This record gives sequence, C-alpha cells and structure tokens, in this order.
Amino acid sequence: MKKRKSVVAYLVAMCMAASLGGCGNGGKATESQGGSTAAQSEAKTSESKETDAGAQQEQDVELSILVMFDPQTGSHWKLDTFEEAAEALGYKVNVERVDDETYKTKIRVMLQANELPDLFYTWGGSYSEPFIAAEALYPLDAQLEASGYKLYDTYKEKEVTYAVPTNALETYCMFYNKDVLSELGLDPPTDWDELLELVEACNEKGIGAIGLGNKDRWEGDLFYNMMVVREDADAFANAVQGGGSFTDEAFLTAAEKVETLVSMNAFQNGYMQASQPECAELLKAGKIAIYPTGSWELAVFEEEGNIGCSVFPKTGAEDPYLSCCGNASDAGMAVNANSANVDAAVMLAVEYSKRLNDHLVAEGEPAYFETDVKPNEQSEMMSTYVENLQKMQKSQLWWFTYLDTSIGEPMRDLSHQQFAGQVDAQSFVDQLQSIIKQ
Amino acid sequence: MNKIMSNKAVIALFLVPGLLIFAFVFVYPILYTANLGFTSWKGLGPKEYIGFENYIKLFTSDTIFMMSLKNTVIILVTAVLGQLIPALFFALLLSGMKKRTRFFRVAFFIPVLLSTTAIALMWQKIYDVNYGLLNEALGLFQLAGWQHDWLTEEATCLIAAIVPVIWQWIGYHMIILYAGLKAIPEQYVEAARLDGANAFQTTIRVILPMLKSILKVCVVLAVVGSIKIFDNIYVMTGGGPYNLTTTIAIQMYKESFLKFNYGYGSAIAVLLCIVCVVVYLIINRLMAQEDLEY
Repeated sequence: MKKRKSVVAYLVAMCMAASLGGCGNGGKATESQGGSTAAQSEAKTSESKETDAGAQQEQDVELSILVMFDPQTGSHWKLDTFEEAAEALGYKVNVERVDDETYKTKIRVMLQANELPDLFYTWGGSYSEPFIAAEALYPLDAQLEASGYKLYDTYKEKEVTYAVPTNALETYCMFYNKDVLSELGLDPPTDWDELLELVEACNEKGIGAIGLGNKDRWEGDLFYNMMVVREDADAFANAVQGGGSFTDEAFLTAAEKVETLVSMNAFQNGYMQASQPECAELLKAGKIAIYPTGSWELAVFEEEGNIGCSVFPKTGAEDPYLSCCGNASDAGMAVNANSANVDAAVMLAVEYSKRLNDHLVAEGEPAYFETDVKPNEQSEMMSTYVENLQKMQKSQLWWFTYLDTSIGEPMRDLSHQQFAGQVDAQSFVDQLQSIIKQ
Repeated sequence: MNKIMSNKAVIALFLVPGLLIFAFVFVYPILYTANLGFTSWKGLGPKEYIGFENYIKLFTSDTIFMMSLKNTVIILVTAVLGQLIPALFFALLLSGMKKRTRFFRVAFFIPVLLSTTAIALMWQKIYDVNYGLLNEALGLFQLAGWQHDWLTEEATCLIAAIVPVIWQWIGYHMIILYAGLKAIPEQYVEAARLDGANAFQTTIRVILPMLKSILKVCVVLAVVGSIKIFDNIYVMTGGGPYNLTTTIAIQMYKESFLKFNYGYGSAIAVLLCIVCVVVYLIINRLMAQEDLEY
C-alpha cells in the first residue's frame, strides 16, 4: 500500500514538474487589438482603382497579419493602411497587434511552430536571419518591380528584398523639455561639456538630467552605441570586420563617459527599471531635461509644444550631424513564404508599404518610396528632424540588430551592468570584446 | 457486470485511453525535452548531439545559471516560510472564531483569484521610486532614510520580487489549512484543555501533529511553486537588474526563446524537473509519518 502511495506521489510530482514543459508563451499578457479602423477611400490612387476592378475575384482571400505598431506612440496609418490596401486589392485582413516586447517572443515562437501569419514585421539585420535560414521569408523583388513603385536605393542594399519598409530610416536623436532648460538657463546640450553642465544643474534642481528607460536593457545599449559613434563612426565596423577591437580607444572612452554619467547620477531615479513610455511621460512632465532615444518617439512628442528635438550632442570627435545610429534598412513587413495565399500576401505587402509611405509623407515624414505626394503639414519638430536626417552621411546599424542574438543577449546583460555602475569601463570593454569576438 | 469489473484486464483496458493521453501530454514532452537537452539545437536545422556538454557548461562556466540557482534557493526558503507560517497563523486564528469567518476567508483568498501579471504590475507600481506607494508611505512616516529604489538596488531587488509572491499565496494555503483544522474533531482539543494544556501547547502537541498530512500538501505546493517561479518576477523585473532576480525558469526561458538555444534551454528544463522531484522526495522523507486517523 505504501509503495503504491509513493508511486502515486511520484506521478503527482512529475505532473507538477511537467507543467514546465508546456511553458511556452512567457507568461506575459498578450494585448490583442485586432482590427483596423475604416479604410480611407479618398487616399486611393488611380493605379489602385485599376487593381480594384481586377481583384474582385479575390474576395475570399483572407490574410492574417501580426504587428506591434502602437497607434498611441506612432502614426495610426500603420494600422489603418492594412485595411485600405486590402480593400483596394479585394482581400480581407485579420490584423493582430501585440506590444513590442511580446511581439519579439511571439513571432519567434510562431516561426518554431510553423504558424507564422501571412504578413508580419521584422526588424531586419540579424533579426531576420533565423527567418531567412528557415526559408520563411518570401522575396518581394518581383512584385516591387511589377508594381512600378520605386523604393529608394537605401532600402535595397541586400541582394534580395525580404521586407518592405513601414517608415523611413529611424535614427537616434535627443528630445528635450524647453521649459526645464529655460528654467535652468541652458540651451539643449551640444557637446560633452554642456551635457555635464546640464547634469550638474539638474542635480541641483533635484530632477533627472537624462531620461533612460533601461528595464528591457536596450535603451542603455543604444545610448552606448551612440556614444561610440560619436567617438568614431567607423569603430564598430572596424572592430567587427577590420583589424580593430572592442577594447580600442573609441569604445573605452565612450564607456568611461557612460561611467562618468552614472557616477554623476545623470539618469533619472529608477532608470534601471523604467520603461520607454515612462520616460516619455517624465519628459513631458518636466521631470527630466533631455531624453535621448530613437526617432520613433517623434509621433509621441510632435504635438507637445514644450518638447524640442535635436541631434545627440557631440560627445566625442565626430560631427553630430554627419553620423548617427539607426535601424536596419531591411526592416519592415515580410511575407510568410509558406503562406497559403503567398501571392496575395506579397501584393498586399507592397501595396500597403507604398500607401503607408504616401500617408506618412503627407503628414510630413520622410519618404522611402518615390512619390508625388506633397506634405500637407509638417510640424516644427519633424521639419528639424528631416533637415538633420538629410545632412547625415553615415548611419551605424544598432549593434544588437547586426549581431546574432546569442551574442546580442549577453551584450545587453553586460550593458545593463554598465549602466548600473557594476562594471568599470576597462572591464566593460574587455568583456565586450570577449562576448562579441567569441 | 460485477465480475467483469473485477477483472484486472478489463480495468487495465479502461485505463488505457487515460494513460495514453497522460503519456502524450506529460511523459512525451518530458522525454522530448530531455532528448533536446543533449543537443546544441538552435530551433532550426538538424539536431547535433553533444552528450553532456550542456550540463557541464551549466555547472562549470555559466555564471548566470549559478546565480539563478542561488536566487531560486533563496526564493524557495523565503517564500515557503513566508507563505506557510502566516497562513498557519491566520488559519488558527480563523478556526478559533465562531462567527464572521467568511469575510476573512474571502478577503485572504482574493489575491489568489487575481491574475499574476496584474499583481506583478501592481507591485511594480507600489515599488516605483518616483511615485510608488511604498516610498511615499515611508516619507509620510518620516522614514525617508528607508526609501529605496526597491527593484533596482542590489540589496533589495530579490526580496522585493519575493514579497508579492508571498502576498499572493498566503490566502491559498490559509484556506487549505483552515479546512484541515476544521476537520479535526473538537473532542481532542477539549481533552487537551481538560488535561491542563494552554493554547500554545494544544496547538503544538495536538493540532499540528493532526494537521501534518495537510501541512505536507501545502509544503509541496509552495516548494514546487517556488522552484519553478517565473511569471511574477519576469513581469516585475525581467530577471534584472543584470540577472540579480533571474530564476532557473527565467533563465530557461531566456536561453530558449530569446537566444534560440533550445538545446541548452532544454537542459535547464530537465534540471528543473529533477530538482522538483528530488525536493519532493526530500519533503516526503522528512515528513513521512503514518497518518493519524480521527
């Protein structure tokens, strides 16, 4: 009897432990906001009307789409245009939206399970590599050519185009609160000394000088990427492909400067557990003076009269207008090569990308397709950003996007330690070298 | 009919469908995961067998795994004691009450009904260094020196991550223990009192021994829950800052789903299973005793 009891007990214990085996979705709540708003028929071009007529027979085609576009922090057109483009082509679409961090996990799990949606977003660079290796991405070049739409050369760097853009290249920039700077009697910092001056002034005032949402590690990572680019715009390329090393002067000097900022309490209270939206709110509320982040935040701040935007300060030797960190030119909407409706998905991807381009250009954003659409309006902030972007000569891809995730993840762990002040500059670059050059 | 039903072959036949489902849902995934643990599989392409390399790496060069192991042990000890001692205390108090126990039972059980993610987010806000309730309250009571950046500072992050877990599950164990206490016949307690035992002596010498089998269930549930803890801590801290709150389950997730190291992640999952079973056996041995019948 006792033996039988212990056998049952073993099984119960195994059951409890076995629930781990099924752990697959990360336990995070998935916010699903499927469904876009009504299509904007007035935006249809004459070309698409022709497509309309020919596509009536495709009424039964329903395409699934998974994206992480957030209408709160980006243009609503990124979601709305799916419906518009689908209507023009005579398709139905089922759009699912999840938050950014959930998306990264979900799409990878879907790839493993061979359950990818017909269309989905990719950040390009190394992020696309597992998808390409699994032959899960369908080439879009033929459809791009057939459509007659002309993508700017920057977005066709690779031999095969696997994704069509959903916005122009995004770069690192610096948002600042005009009221806070005015109270401090300072201008937006343009170099390292002015940045330190701002930090001291903010410390005296009892507010955070620099906003950093480092909970998910990537904001600190981007900040350091940018600091290195300011020291030497070619440093990363030299370290990876040339004869350089991650212990070279540019990396060490940038790490020392980060160390200085951390030791001066330059970042706001709780920056190691803060998120990007929290930083945005802190900047709006005047709790931080500047917030260096990607231009994807333009939509968040554009309507805010007390927020300005400029290039990241010249913290090193490089001209701040000529080089910057940015995202991959091959980021955008990709098509599942195993989709049952692959042809329709390809057509929708290209049509969506072009229509979105036109909507964004009309709103004053930079174009990635050639277009006749003229900006209806352009905010002062957007105008400054576009002006600065046009001066840029060299864009350094975010390191994480370039690197394999098995290297990128430990690198971000190290970056987290760096911003927590747990590792000194020399040790940081030594570890960086060993992680990336492993 | 009775003759057929007493035939062992027939009974076995009836058990087969359930056994097959069990094998497919529980046994097969475990064996499959164990198999993956011996590969360097990245999620795509062929599986290359590398023997015990993953396990050797885990214990010889993976400092993050060792940290996650240490964190899990700390969570295990803290959470189990933190859940069961108050749960027992409240259950004893409740069982001594004659009226209005329903309100307290429901109130203590509410956190169990809430989504773990919601609880984690709520506590994240409570701990927030800029506008969190905890720091505000400390400030109100002139205890500004005790204010911390709870989820970020090295000294406080792990314990701050454990508190919500304890808070959530106290009510669950309390209800189980309360049910156990209610099942103890009143005459044993009365007899002890007539013999001159005070409340403390009655609890230690009479009630707790009679509650042992129920306590064992609670200990097993709390221990296994603590060993495989994932969601609350992942939502609150993501395992950070710099892995200081990473648990074995979080490390398994990161290796498998963030780094695509499915082979390595599977090895961690297997270890986690083994740890669960071993700990269960230890508890079973330590708490082994013939059940008291009453």
